[in-house]
Amino acid sequence: MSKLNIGHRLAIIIIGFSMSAILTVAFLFFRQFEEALIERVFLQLSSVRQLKASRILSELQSYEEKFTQQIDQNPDSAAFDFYELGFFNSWPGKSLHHKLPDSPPQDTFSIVSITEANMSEPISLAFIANRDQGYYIALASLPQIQDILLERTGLGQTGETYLVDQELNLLSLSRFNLDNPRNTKIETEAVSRAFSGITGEALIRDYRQKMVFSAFDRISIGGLEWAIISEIDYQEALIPINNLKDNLAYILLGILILLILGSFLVSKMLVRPVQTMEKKLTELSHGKIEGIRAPIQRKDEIGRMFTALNRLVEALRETIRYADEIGAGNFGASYNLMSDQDQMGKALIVMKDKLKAFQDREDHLRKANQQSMLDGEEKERQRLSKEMHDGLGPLLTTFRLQVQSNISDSSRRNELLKTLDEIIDEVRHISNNLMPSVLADFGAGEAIGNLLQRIKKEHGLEVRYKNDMQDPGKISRASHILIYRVAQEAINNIIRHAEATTIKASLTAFDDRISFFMADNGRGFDTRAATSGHGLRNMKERVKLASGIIDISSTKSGTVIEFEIPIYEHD
Amino acid sequence: MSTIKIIIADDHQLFRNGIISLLEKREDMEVVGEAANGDKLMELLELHHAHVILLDISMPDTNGLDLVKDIRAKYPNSHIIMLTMHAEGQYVVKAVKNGAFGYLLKNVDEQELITAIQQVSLGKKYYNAEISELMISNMSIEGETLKPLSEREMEILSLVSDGLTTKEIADQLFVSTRTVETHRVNMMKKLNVQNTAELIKKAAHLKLI
Repeated sequence: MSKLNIGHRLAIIIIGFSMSAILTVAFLFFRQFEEALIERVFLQLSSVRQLKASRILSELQSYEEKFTQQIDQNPDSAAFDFYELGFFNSWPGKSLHHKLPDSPPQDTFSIVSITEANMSEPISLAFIANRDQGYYIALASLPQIQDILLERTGLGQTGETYLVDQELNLLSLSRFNLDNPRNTKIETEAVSRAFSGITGEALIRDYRQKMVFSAFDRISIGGLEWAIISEIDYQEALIPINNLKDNLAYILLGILILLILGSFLVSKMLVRPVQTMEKKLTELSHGKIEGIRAPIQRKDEIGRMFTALNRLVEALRETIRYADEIGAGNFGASYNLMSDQDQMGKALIVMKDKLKAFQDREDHLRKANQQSMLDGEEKERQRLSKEMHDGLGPLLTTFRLQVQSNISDSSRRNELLKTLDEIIDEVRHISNNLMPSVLADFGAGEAIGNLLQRIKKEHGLEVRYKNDMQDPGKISRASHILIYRVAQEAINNIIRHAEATTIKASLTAFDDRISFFMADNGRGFDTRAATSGHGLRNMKERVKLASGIIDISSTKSGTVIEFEIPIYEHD
Repeated sequence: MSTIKIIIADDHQLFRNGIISLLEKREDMEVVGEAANGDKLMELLELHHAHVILLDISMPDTNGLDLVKDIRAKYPNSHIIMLTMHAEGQYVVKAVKNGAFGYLLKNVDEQELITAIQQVSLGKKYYNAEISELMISNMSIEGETLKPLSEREMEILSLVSDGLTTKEIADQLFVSTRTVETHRVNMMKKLNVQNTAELIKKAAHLKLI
């Protein structure tokens, strides 16, 4: 039972309860019907028996009356009803009829059966009156008695009424084709009860040994003792009950089918959703997140259960989406807790915060590392630049002074001085390339200006530049270097790749940021496919490091680059 | 004719020696002191009067350009010639602004150095052609404005009032549109107005345009 699914269990319970209730009712009903039927059969049998008995009795009485009248009025004249009537001084016995007894009956009036054994002969009686010192004897044959018995009103196919005499011989015709009925001894309970004076009904075996309903009585007149018995086969009498049994069986079968159909419907209505739910929950436990796809029309508990499932699935999907976002590093993703008890959601949010903090720390560290590397590099450049400018430069100029004072040959001196000037220029140039001293002393605005000035001179470009940074002290040295380096990279790009003829540039200081803008009329480049030669990556890295923004757009007719660096209070 | 008293401030001993030996050959000049840094120079100036100070810009712990201002204030009769490796206009401009009388690069010819010292000692300024050019190319930037709006903002204001779009202004002034917008917003803040129409109205009222 425990292994059956709840649909089958429900069906079995429904069918079991219904069937036992119906069977009980049917059984009780059946019993009552059976009893009523038997009672009715008995009633009918006894009324038939009663009717026939009284008719036979009245027939016999009318014969007796006629006999009395005949002998009173005209004893010698043979009457219509009697085929023999006469007065005998002494008992004629067998000389009159072979069935008459040898000795006369003692009573003043008696009736004696003289019926032949042959069934084709009707029942015959001798009426005997003992008076006037002789005997009046009338003989009569009474076929009407058989007629009365054969009237089968209300006795169906197997019903019959028959007479049995005291010698237990069957007197009347049997419906059941007996060869020699009048010699047949009818030794049934009905007969014995009738002769012992009991009038009644019983379910007994008849002379054919068949179960019959039997009603029995005794006909007693003028010393004649007969038993009258009405019987009907048990089988036939109970045909209605058998029909009922069949009908009941059909009805029960019909009800059973209806119950099975009904329980199937109930199963479909109640159990299917539960199974669907079970399937979905199992899938959920296996990680397959899927709700009820079909629109939910039911408004009952099952409908609400499905709605709740869909909400759960939705919430799970939301959680997964959120987890995916976190996994993809999108810590800005938002998540609404399903409720105060949303443990998973809370855990995810905590995880996100931790990851974000971790990433921020990583970011910060990485930036700091990059920054310190850049700073180190710049410091080194500056040191080198300074050494050349302020160390090597003065040495060379000193040497120049010495040449100037100590070499008297003027042509040789001038030649040396010229070479020395070239060397000094070169040193200045190299130093400037490493890091212009103007950058440190006057800021990025001026340094970029100088750079552009030199470009203009060396490459013959038309340069327009506006340095709109009034107070270079407003931003840190590192910011100046950064702005200069990015601008320098951009300018180098123009020189190396753009084939431009004009450059427009500006550096603008606002309260909260520095903005650099530069446009050229060169041939442009594909900003996406740009090679590392453009140093774009480097520029972007540097600007990003300073939390700035950079935008480079390029077409065939020129490139525009602009970037902004925020100014912080602590700069 | 009295001798020109000179003090040299430079952190390179050899260079100082070179200059000194060059000047000492002359009758009309006398090097009265030499200093390797700013502090030393100020000490020297306490003790000696110098007509001309040859001053380096880059010295340890000392920025020669800043020093010019102090010396000018304290010793107005000592005239300063910058003698430096820095060949950028910015240095020249700042030196001049701070009160230097001359500006020479260290690879200067002997004759020019002498000429410069002589000129400056007489209270004249001395800039050769090269230096002058450096100065001029950087001078224009240094114009100070006392107006509530910056020069750049005035420029943009006038273009705005001419009916140019942000894009056109950005094009003309070679700045980004974002920069023009920022300028415009800053101007509106400064003039305390809410929109461009008000800005122009107010600017006209203030006779800025």
